[in-house]
Amino acid sequence: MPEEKNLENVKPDETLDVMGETCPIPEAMAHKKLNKMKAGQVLEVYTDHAAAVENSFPSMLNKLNYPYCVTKTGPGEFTIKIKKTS
Amino acid sequence: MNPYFLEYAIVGIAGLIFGAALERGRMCFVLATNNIIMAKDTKILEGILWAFGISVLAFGIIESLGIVPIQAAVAGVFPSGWYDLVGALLFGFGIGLCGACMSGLIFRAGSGFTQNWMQLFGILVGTIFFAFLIFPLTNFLYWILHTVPWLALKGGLYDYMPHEWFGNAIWGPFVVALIFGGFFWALGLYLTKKRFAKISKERGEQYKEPIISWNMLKFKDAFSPRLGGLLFAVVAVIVFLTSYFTVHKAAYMGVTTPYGSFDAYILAPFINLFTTVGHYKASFLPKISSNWFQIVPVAIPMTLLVIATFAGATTTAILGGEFKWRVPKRKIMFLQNFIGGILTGVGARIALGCNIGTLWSGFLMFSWAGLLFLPTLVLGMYLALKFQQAIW
Amino acid sequence: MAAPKRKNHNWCGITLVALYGLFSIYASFFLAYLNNGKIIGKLSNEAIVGIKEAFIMWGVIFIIGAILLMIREYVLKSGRKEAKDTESGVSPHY
Repeated sequence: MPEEKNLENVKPDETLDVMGETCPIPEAMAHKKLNKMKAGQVLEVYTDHAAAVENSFPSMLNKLNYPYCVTKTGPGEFTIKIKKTS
Repeated sequence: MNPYFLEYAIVGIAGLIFGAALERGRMCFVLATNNIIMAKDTKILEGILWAFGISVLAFGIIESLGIVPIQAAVAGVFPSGWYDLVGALLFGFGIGLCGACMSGLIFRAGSGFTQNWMQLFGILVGTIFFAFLIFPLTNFLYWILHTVPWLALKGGLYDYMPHEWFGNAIWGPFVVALIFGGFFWALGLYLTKKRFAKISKERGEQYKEPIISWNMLKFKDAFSPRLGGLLFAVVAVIVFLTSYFTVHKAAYMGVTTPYGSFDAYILAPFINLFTTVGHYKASFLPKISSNWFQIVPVAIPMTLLVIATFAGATTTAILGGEFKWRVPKRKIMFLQNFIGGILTGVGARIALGCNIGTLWSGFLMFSWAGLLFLPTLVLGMYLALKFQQAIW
Repeated sequence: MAAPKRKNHNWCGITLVALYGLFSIYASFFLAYLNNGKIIGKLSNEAIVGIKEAFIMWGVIFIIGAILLMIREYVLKSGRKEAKDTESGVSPHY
């Protein structure tokens, strides 16, 4: 599933703050949180782990087939919005 | 000019390149392994395979052409044996807990991850623990030098595959390099092709990632891991050739022993490192040395390389606008990283090196060390990942 | 909702680069002393002198590098202010 830019303005149902954490914590925690959520909800993740945003998150979300959207909120800081589709 | 000065001056430049390659290419073994296990993504692994493949091929050519004679190349080959397996398991679990390998640690810490500074502190403490307790009490050096032959190989020519397989043939190193390096590089190229084909199919258009682009050179984009791998190989070749042509002592890449040197520099003003602290007399085995600091080199080119790598990683992080002082919300992570760091340090010392010094350089030396290190390293990282998925 | 606005941390990084330089100069003082107690791997005097000089040289280079980064930061900072004053655009990082 490629990135979806129209997620950018969607209000998230859940947020996850993993600032300062290194891999595999951000992906693992996001995965756990997504498992607990209902289909159709949107999760917002705050992270400052560039390598996770470039590699781990896209590959994990591709595998799960969830649309997502990455916004760079500052140098080395990112917000990822993920929609749980199923 | 003093040849040692020249060697260290050039090695410093290599270190800066190494730091840039690490930080920009996100070259981390833990990241690569986690991505494969969690999402079957091979992007970072491709970079590591490029690094291994190209450098091994280059070393084979250099040694076969006699640019660096085999006698000089084998002088730096470590003995390898059971301790590689044991150390790699501890090391793998430690780096898995911290989320950064011995080289990944440098770029993480360099770009401001406080957790990885904690890991570094753990490694320094773990090395002291090893040096004053484990090393003398178990008489570690004795076991390495005198274990029964099928458990350990002697260093030098005994652990040099081209010599074992082809005797003194000049083409020996090249053939061995072709086998290992060719395998790594071919696997890397294959994985890239497979990944591109998969993404192309999903998106319905031809998908390709450039190896190098203008934005990468301007530090706007992260390097492709394959470019990182290529730079790794360049650094290893620079260090190898420089050290041979300046001081006639070939040096292989390594980052573990430099941490030991850092310990020595930090402790030097406070305690006498060569006294009988933790003396061998506690051991029932013959005397070799009383603590590890007596046998660690006071400075190897890699010591400066590691400092320069830190500087290179921090500089590119600042230039790329990615430097940030990152403090985790959950303070327990510091404890996890400290414990992980101790395991990393002790494991790396037991295996005589880390993922760079034993795994990568093991292949560059054409010794068995790399092959012995790999399986338990992956097992350790896998266990650590499962452990973390279970508790967090 | 957006992540809180962050402070500029580059000064931390620049301090780190300077500290690497100071550490390598600091380390150079102990090379000769630490070489005395070696059982294995003793270096010649020539080696100690050469290594010491190289450590000091690189230490100085890192400190100069930190100063250059500091100047770059200052230039960028003043550039950012101007951009804000004229409302001509956002800072290049964002």
